[in-house]
Amino acid sequence: MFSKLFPNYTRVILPVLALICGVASLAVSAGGDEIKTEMNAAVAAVRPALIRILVVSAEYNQGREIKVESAGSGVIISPDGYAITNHHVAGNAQRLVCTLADRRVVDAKLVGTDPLGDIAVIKLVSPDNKPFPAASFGDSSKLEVGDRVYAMGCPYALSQSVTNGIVSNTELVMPPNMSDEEFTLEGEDVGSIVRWIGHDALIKPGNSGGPLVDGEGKIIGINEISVGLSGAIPSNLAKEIADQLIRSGKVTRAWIGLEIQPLLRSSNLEKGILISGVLPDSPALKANFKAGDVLISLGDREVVARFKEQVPLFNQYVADLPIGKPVSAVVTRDGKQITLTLTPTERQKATAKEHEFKSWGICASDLTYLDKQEMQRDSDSGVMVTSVLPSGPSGTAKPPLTDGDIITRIGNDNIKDTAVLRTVTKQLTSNKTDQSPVLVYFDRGTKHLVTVIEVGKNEDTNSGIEISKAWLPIDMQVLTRQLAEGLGVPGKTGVRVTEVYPNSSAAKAGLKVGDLIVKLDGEKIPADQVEDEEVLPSMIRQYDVGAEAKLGIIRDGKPMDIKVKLEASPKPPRDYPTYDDENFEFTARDISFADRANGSVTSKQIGVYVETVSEGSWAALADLQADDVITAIDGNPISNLQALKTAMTSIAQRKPKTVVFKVQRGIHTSFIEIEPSWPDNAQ
Amino acid sequence: MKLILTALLAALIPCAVSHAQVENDARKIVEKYGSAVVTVDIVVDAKMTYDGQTEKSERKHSTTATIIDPSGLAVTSLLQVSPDSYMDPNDKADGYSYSFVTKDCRITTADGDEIPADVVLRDKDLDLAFIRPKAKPDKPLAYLDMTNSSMPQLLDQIMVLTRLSQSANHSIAAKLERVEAIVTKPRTFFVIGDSLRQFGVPAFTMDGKCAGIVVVRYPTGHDEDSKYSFYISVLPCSTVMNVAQQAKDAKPQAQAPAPAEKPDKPVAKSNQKPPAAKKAH
Repeated sequence: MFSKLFPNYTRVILPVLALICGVASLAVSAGGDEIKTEMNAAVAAVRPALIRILVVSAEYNQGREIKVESAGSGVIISPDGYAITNHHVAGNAQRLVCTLADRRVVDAKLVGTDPLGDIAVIKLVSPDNKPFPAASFGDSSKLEVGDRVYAMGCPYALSQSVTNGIVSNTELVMPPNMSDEEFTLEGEDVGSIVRWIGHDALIKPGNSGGPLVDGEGKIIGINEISVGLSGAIPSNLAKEIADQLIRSGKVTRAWIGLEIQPLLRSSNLEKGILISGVLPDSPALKANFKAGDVLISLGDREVVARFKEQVPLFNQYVADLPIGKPVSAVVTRDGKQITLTLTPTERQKATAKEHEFKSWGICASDLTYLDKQEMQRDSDSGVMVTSVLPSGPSGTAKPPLTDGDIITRIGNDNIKDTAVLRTVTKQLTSNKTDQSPVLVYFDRGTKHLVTVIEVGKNEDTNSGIEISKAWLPIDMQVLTRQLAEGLGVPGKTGVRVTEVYPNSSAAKAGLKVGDLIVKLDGEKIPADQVEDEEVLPSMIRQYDVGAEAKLGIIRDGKPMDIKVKLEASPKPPRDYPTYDDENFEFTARDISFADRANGSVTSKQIGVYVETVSEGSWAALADLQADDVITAIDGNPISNLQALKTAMTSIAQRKPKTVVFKVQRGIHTSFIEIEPSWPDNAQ
Repeated sequence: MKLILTALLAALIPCAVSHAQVENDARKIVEKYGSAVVTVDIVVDAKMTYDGQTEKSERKHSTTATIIDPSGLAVTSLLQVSPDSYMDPNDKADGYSYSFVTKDCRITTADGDEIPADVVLRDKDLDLAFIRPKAKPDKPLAYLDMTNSSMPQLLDQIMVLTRLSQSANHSIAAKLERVEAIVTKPRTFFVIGDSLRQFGVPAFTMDGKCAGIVVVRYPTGHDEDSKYSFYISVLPCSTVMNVAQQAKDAKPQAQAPAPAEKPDKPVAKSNQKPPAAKKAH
């Protein structure tokens, strides 16, 4: 379960050892009344505002949108329910469920998110319009190494927990040997603007988004990473981002298009920052910056970046420049100082949001400025294919589309972006039941290709049925040589009956457990080794279904013959018709013979068998599991698949807030409360 | 000295002639039946269930099949169509269980035509899967007449026809094998060694008659040692044809919910007639 809640993020997700609800236990190890008093006060100030967040996010793979579950932490920062957490916890949430410290569970909505700062703001929905307990921000710039801090959160989705430690580093940056990718979210390099507060309060997966609290009970950081030391985003930066997200739903930053690095040691310069590159179509290029320039000042600020720790401060300053207003810059070039003027523009996202296009069997996104530059394209017009469903219209086209292709034209329509693709798709598919072949022009690297895609839903392909053959409705073990001797019939070969299926032709014929079957229609059964367990079934399969076979048996040492009518082999579970519920995302079928024969369902059980439950689905969130048997829905018995289909069709029309399944799981019965979010328009 | 040389030549010449004859016969078989061996592209939806929840991912692969009638009915190895066919459905190793559903199936004929198809019948016992075009082909397809068959003997040479992969332009290929064992219990099949990597293809005796279809025989027991010991085998024509008859009659798998079984009567009821005590073959 934990592995599902905490998937392997590209970044190291925040951590924690849980001293669950542990004010008292913390105090014991810390020792001293003063510390205990401080801890009590700090925890009391923040803990009521601490939330555990269960997140259902969308991921995009193989041309499909897939829901995934994860969990993280957060802290309420205003009585009207705004809470701060990490972008990597809640930034792509489709559903948020928060558990408060008083154990109440409330829904929340995503207000805004910022991958560059790894901060997201969510808003809790108050069920009774009463204010929420809120914590307040402290001043992270006043922190000093050695200050006592408390990491609060919900490690491994446990309830609100606290660990303590000290500030180890107030300007933690990643050393060069650590991959930038590990700290990159959706193409954004978090370390370019964040200098983490390093501390040794233990954090574990699930602590992400939880507050780092000072001795006065103020939020001085948002825990984010663990790299040996724990790392928190300083509260001053987090608060600034959160304020913008609450105000406008997004963070607006200035962009000048300079690539920079600390001064080279060999330069012997004390001031400035080295311009390592100038991006195409950027304000910096228009202002005539050149790679190799040393930027001495920008606007009214002197620039100093001799070390990596100083670079995030420069980037923060650039991000805060007024957009659209010219700003002067002084650079050193070839030993001379030159003054340049540049006009910042608004910074664009590094990557665009993915969308699923079911009719094409692809996931795709718009092209960003960076995509355009990286792919060396002339324009950002087009739609980038991010993944392809192998069996879908695009995956089966000749040639098929593949990841990274840029769709530029469909038929006579130029495809500027995903909005246009959506419109064109509607035109191609509305009121059509068959697939429509259409020419799709796309770029792959520098090549301009075209293919024919039959847009629309794929025709179902049959998986076939298992052939029906004659079957003796018993279970058996091989009468090995040793067993034959032990049972007093040395030299006999065949099988021993271990189970006779009730109400079957074998039961009616009088076969009993313990009978030794040694002949079939007078022929010896050549089975005398454990591996020969398929010998008799194979001999039986040579008969027609319904044929009568004479079994030569030994019962209590006496030989006798029994005639048994051979039945058709039971239909395997995979050949049962299934019902696929698209809203709750589970599949079910009638209970099969195999389910009862292998003991996973009792012989008298009535209901429908749950075959699959998609991860992150409403059904999964409510803990419906594969292999459950649904016996009732909202109090109405479900005896077969048709009843389930009728019930679920009615639910889809009524869209109730909750649906209660009664399920049987082995010998246990439980009630599962599903709380779906009904979309206004199904895609 | 002369005598020795003469004797040696006398011994070698029939041998060379014999080899040339084998190759000649083999080439005739390729020419006659090569078009019946086709490539099948399959996409399966692999579902992995763990801890009550299911993850899905699609997998695409190509295999070979043999067309056995002019309507395009083709036979191949079930293992190639449904990789879970050798798994015990009750065996949930480490809590994981797997299932595979065919999402897309296309036959590519020898002349490059691509025909959308369905899997119509599976026989786990024999490792056979039958594939049929979704629509009737415009013209009869090249096929292998399995009634013209023969039963090879131990150590007889047989020739297997296969198709290479896309990188070799799906070219027809021939391989000579020998019957290494004839297994008769519980049913007859010919073991031909383990060098072949393509299944669902025909094997021929050197007189040009069909010996059967190459399939994989895998153990059904619970003996750990033998669990992964597969045999590449040729299933006799008569066995394949018997199942093929049912494949011809098979209807597409029902999609709509069916009435529930009575809980006390889990056994499927036979709709076939005869209680006559006779063996099918």
